[in-house]
Amino acid sequence: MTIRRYRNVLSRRTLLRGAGGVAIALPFVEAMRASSVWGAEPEPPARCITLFFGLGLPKAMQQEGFSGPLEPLAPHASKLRMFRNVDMSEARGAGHPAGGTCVFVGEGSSNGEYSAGASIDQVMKKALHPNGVPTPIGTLAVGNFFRRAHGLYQRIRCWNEDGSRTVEPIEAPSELFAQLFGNFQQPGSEPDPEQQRKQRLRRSVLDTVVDEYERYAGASSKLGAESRVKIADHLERIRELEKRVFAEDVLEGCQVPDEPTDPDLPYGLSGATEYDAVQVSAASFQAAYRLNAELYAMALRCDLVRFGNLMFESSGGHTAFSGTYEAPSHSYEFRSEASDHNNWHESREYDMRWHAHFFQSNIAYALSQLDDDDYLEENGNTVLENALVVLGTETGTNHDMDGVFHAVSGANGRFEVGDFDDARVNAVDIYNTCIHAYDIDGNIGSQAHYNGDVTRMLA
Amino acid sequence: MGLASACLGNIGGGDGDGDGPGLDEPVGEVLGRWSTRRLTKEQYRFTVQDVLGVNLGSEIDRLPTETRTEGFTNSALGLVVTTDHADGFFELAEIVPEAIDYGVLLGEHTSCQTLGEDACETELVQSLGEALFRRPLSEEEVVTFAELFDTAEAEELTYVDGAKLVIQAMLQSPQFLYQLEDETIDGAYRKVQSYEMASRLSYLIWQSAPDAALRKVAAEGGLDTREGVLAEAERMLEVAKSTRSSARFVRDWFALDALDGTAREGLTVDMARGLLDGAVATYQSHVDEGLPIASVLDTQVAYLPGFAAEWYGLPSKGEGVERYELDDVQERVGILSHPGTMTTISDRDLGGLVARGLFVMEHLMCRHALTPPPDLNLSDFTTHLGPEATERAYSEDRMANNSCKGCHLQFDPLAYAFERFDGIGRYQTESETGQPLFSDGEFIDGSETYSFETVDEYVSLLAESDSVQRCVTKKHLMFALGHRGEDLGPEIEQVHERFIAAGGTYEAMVLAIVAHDVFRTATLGETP
Repeated sequence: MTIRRYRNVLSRRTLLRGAGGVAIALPFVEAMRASSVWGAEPEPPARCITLFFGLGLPKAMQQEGFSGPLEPLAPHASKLRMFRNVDMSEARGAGHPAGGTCVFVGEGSSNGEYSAGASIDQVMKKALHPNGVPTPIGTLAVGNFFRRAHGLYQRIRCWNEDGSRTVEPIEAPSELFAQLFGNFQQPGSEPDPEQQRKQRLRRSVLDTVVDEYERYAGASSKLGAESRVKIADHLERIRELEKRVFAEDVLEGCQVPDEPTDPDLPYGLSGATEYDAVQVSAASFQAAYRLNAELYAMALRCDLVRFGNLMFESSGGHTAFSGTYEAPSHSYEFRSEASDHNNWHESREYDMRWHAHFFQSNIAYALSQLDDDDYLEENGNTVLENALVVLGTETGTNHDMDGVFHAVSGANGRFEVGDFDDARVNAVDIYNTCIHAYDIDGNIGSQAHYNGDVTRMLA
Repeated sequence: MGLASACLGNIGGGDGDGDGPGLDEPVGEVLGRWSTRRLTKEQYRFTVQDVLGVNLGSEIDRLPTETRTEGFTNSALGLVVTTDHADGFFELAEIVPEAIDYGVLLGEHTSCQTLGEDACETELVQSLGEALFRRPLSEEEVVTFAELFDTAEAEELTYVDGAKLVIQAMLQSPQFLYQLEDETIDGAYRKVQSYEMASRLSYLIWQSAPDAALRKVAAEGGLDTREGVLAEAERMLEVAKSTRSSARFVRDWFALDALDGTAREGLTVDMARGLLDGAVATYQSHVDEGLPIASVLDTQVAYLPGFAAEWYGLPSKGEGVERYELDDVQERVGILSHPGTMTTISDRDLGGLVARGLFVMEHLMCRHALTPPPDLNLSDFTTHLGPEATERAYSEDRMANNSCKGCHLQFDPLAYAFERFDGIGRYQTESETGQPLFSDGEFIDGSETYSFETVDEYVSLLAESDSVQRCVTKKHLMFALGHRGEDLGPEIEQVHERFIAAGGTYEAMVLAIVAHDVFRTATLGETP
């Protein structure tokens, strides 16, 4: 059978969406201020970035303050509220699967393959942008790690409400660069007619595709609620893709960094044996993380993303570092024959201490990128001051859930910062206080362990 | 082609009546619960190969490697769409149309190729769309996709260029990338419709789209009865591409993908690949010979690359993977002691014993380890026995400690038989430090304690274990339905009885599942 259809040599799609061609040359403003980045929004946009480090920090070492492994965080103390007495018994057990699924979620999973609910960044994303985020990337997870044998809890920090992972972490700086900036044409280059036509054709195809996803995700769809959510999530990924493929104006007000060269590390599954500890140079690992932190910070300044995670070492670790870590007061030689996890597992106090110091020095580097006052936002604050940054880990002292270090930024004046907070508190209390400060209704995490908001946090 | 099946072709909404011909009534078994699933990377590859004739080769790696969730790469919970997936689908949608032999494809799906002629354009969209979307398209869909020919015309391109745009769009559409069903339920359950059943069968048995013959059976109502489903499933199991599913199952079950592209000390990438192929072939030969699935645990046959045959003490038949009889080989029985499996379920950093024990408990007995209490602090449990002590010695030390025993008693003993296999499955009787290694032990299964002296005895106990055999059924149900283990209940027992009664083979398992109401129906199972 033949279906008759209205036709026009210039199709509806062509007329409506493609007739003018797609401009891909970008305005490229050198100004570092972000006035145009946020578009018409008068306030800094709500952003929630979680910073994770693996293996936890023993409670006794936290109590040493800035004379212990927390020393590298001292320069950022005025911008953080640091919790040293966090009870994370809502993990519902000890160890990495419990803690790794609980951190940023507020409830541990019975299975390290999925979470008990959404992570705080995803809760905020969904609540504040129910129809999709306005940025090219919805969720950005970036991390350096190798362990991936036992479950998703090891590397996944951004979880959906149904317990599935939102995204996989990007490991290689070059891959992160390509995803953030790789599609943008450099200013001043002449548009290629053939490329312009290719873009018009892509536009027609993706318009058709998007229409189909909207139909299946929409109210008249004959799919069930869970299926519609899946289709809607996929649609969100396609909309993000569109913003990358048809990049127009999105880079206005920010600066594209130089394309990085990846430090010599094995990246991804191809580089990591599933079960063995991977032996790597600590210097290379650090270099990769720091490049990623720089790119992540630039992505936030450019408003390419508002939600996600940056991870230094997975839950459970299992990286065997080699080389020397030069701390300000000490030179530490890594024991390359043992993984970082084994140092924790076997309570090697000396090795654990300087591993932890090394970890915190890199967390501090990420914070310094977020707090770089060369990139003040429109209200005169840094990203660290304006955004909600939640720093967390998976365990307290050697796999237990007592004293699971956390820190929270000021979130544009919402929270009191500048000191340690040593009062007993559950992690789920901190998370709920954070989302409620953004006027998000409801609670996240384990209701059985939620003791109410931490009002002393509030500014 | 008919568009009368609006209820099948218009799930996205519109004028479909939401009901239609379906399977015969449920028979009182546990009803199903549908989880919409995206095609896996492998299913995408096979579907493109079968429908469009394009072998993607390494281009498929533009999609990320699928993650195993509860052991399976096709778990509905794990099949999310990350940024890398969206990029990969976009890139492949541009690559695939350029690799198609249009002389063949258009010959199959159109009778004319004139740009601007409605008949030529809609005919292709209808015919190719039915193959890619696994059902007839609705009129709205035909119009939507055919509009891309207008774009080609506006750009002064050719009919083939227009076809490429249509294929690009289809390959990124939800109708292609997901197994979608009309989830409208009027009552307590819904019956799976004919084309939906064709798709369920096809992705379960072939890891690919229904072929023209299966779609024809669906169109004629041949899948509307339990008998019809069984007859078609039996036919499909005879087709060579049914090995795709059994291979995928065993690769997931024994985590064999970990051997693909990785190396370990003493094991190059090529050697690991040989072990992967050998382990899969060991299982596949078992399926092909119609032997009970559980008996692969104590099979006297192994497929091995030459170097691994020598590890068994057998003369190599050559570098490639070959079949070896193990009748005269001691301590090397069954797929668990295959060096491929021994490698993937080991963990030299954590300790091979713990990882292997956990694997047997979780993936062969379907039991989960108790979670350690939140106040557990491992500071008291250090390496006090010294570096020379074997893993068995540390394990026995844990068994003597009440703080450790509660958890480790569940899984440590399940790995005792494998102490003599190193991290890549080589057999040794002494540790690197000269300590003797053993293969005896005892383990608890249900309310019984079983003792064994050798690997042979141990794997035979596993193969005969009722809990292991039920776990085999549960694993296949998870694989077939994409559900989490905790979402399954009495259907395990119902399928299991039929599976065992029919001989306990792979074919018996597939037929027991597809004939069950859990596969043929769906309840709401969620808040709309």
